[in-house]
Amino acid sequence: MANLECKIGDVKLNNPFIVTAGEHGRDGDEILKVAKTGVGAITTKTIVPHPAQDPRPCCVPMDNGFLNCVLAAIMPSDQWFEKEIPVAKEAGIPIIANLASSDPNEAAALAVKAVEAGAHMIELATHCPHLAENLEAQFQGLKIPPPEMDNPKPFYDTVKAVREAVNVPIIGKVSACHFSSILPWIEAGVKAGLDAVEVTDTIGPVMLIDIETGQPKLGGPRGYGGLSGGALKPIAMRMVFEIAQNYDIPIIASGGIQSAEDVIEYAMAGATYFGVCTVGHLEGKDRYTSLIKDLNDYLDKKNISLDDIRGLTLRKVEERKEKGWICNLEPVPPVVHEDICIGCGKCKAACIYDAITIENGIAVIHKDICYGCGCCVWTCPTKAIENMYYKDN
Amino acid sequence: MSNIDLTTKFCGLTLKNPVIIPAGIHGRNGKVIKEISRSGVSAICTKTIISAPAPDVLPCFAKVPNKSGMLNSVFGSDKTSEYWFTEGIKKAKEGDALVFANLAGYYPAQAAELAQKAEAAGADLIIQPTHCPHMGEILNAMFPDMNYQEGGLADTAGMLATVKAIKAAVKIPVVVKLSGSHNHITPEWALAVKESGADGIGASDAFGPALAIDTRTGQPMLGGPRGVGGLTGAAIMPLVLRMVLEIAMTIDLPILGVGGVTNANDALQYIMAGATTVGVVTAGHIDGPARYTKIIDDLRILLEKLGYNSLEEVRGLTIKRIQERKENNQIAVTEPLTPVIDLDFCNGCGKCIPVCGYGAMWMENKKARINSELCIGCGLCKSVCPFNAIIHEYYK
Repeated sequence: MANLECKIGDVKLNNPFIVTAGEHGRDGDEILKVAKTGVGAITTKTIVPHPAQDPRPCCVPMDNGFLNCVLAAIMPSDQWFEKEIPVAKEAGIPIIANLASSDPNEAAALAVKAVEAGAHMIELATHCPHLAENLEAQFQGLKIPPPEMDNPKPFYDTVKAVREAVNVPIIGKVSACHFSSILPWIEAGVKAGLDAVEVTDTIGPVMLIDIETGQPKLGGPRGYGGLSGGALKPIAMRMVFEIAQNYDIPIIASGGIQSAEDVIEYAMAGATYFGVCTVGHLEGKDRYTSLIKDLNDYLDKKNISLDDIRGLTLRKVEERKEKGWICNLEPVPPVVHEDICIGCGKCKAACIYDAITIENGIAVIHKDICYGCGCCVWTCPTKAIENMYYKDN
Repeated sequence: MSNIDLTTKFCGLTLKNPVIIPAGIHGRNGKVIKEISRSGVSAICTKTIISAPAPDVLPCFAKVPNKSGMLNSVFGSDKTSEYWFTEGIKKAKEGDALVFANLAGYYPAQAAELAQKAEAAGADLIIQPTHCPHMGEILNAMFPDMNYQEGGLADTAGMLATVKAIKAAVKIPVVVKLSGSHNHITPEWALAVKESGADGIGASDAFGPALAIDTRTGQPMLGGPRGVGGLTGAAIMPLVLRMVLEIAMTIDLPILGVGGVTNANDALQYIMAGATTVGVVTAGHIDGPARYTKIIDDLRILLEKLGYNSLEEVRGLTIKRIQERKENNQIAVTEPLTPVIDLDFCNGCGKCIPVCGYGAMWMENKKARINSELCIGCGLCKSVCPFNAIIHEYYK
């Protein structure tokens, strides 16, 4: 068994899997149930001073993704501090209180009460793509100014106020909506005293339409929500990578983790901890248990630890620079490993240059036609095709 | 076979159907465009024609697992603009589809010159891209002395000047294609495109930069300095669909909706959100050109099945539904509605049971049942039912 124990600040985790803010942190009893899956830590749903109801319907799955317009915990914050957090604490694993307030002092006051109630860590988010529209619809007369996506100052103020108020680790959860320009948000968070960043919250706003009726599939004024799950992964992956390239702050990668391979990929991009939520919501909380087991098995089979591979991609990118590989223009045809190829022909279908034929049940790449684009490599279900770029000689 | 007429008017052109192929691999040269036009699409875009050819930094494509889309690090045609204007566009025009010239100049006068030459070569429409999330990084790797600087995302001045210059130079329609990077400022960009005098607007180009890693080696799957690229395909559809809706609610230009369309249902969602034409590119790249034909055929079948006779009847339907939510005081429905299970349709597959995070569902005699006291009316069970057996309509 690989040793998966880790720490955020001084808080010990049995393993790096963290259930992020969502339905599995909706109250103390639920957290107790989810803790039995073996995860390293669990986050509460977002605790707010003035709870709101969720617009209905609030959940829509899609291929490899999930849309929601859920707002925050529906219980008043006092109930969280008096009952739910003390119950959740009985789980014996770290509880992260996810809090939100537009006023830094109020956020600090919530954080103090959460820590008094027993929360081990505090989490603060930067932005929610469907919040303002749905809150304004629910509370007549409420007017929320449009978010300044380029201005991390309010986030800085909130983290700083909470930092001054409590001694427990503080996690900043950045929104995928900052995908075009994430570093200023990390800079602000680091300066204000964050102990870790969670990358990322949902991207959006998003919508899907029911073609039977023309209705947006989600509730609310226009059916807007946030997108999580596998669809978000390539954008979250680049954000994790870019943050790791520029800052030392520990990263909780969350965005579409569904397998041990996804965890390894995020670790290679520079992440230390792994947030899970959508996979458990859509497929049941047992998936958390299987993820922990699968990661253990993967590491054991390869006889490596997460520390060995953390940031490997950062080193590979550095190597591209050192070896003059940042601009390959010459096609290098991939190699087919004949012992692994099953002759299924998926690579042939994906080759828009008609450079692949199947001969005697084996894929053959015609080097004179191959453009070297890489499509066949990633299409092969048995990983029989290997890219030959980025190799010496 | 349904015989619903899909003829679509777009920016003054008459298209035989609303399905077009935006700039991508199936527009890489004139011969390919001619061949692919047999799929039945109404128009095909060239790859982006730029003044100097841009070879692809390899490897340039990576498919993301689990149907979520595709990453690419390409940004322009590897053919010269001379090829396109003397040979490529003419060859492309021998096919059955209209030819849209996707082009990008480094400054307005150059864009206008490219547009003029494209028009003279026979292009039917000009598409002007606005931003590419991975272009700067790759251009600078390719041409180290270039020191290409990206403009601010909110800055529309470059687009305005470029479109005005193109409009002054050509008679054929001009469509401005927004980038996924503009998704948070879609209405602002829509207004600027309207102001530019463009004939139409498209949404959207890829989202990014995005990254996928080969876990066997730790290498980014794509080439280039960091292996980052743009994300297209199914993953971005809910983002782009919302951009299209917002454009349709902000300005009155015809819209080309492009992002993650893999089937007729997706195409129809774009039209309901207000799009006039629908682009399909990644699905055709991954599955082959037969995918285009199938989407067009299925669109007719789907319209007929839903009881419609034309695309006009459904275009913008979702905007009407949103208006109704306001009129009927349904913009903040928060009272849970417990779904009803149509026992005739439920086949007892059990898919709805594990997705109910509230323990409100169970199986009894091979039929799904719901406890309305535990149900919070979230809608997940209806969404996963493969047999449409769960009736859950908040907005009747």
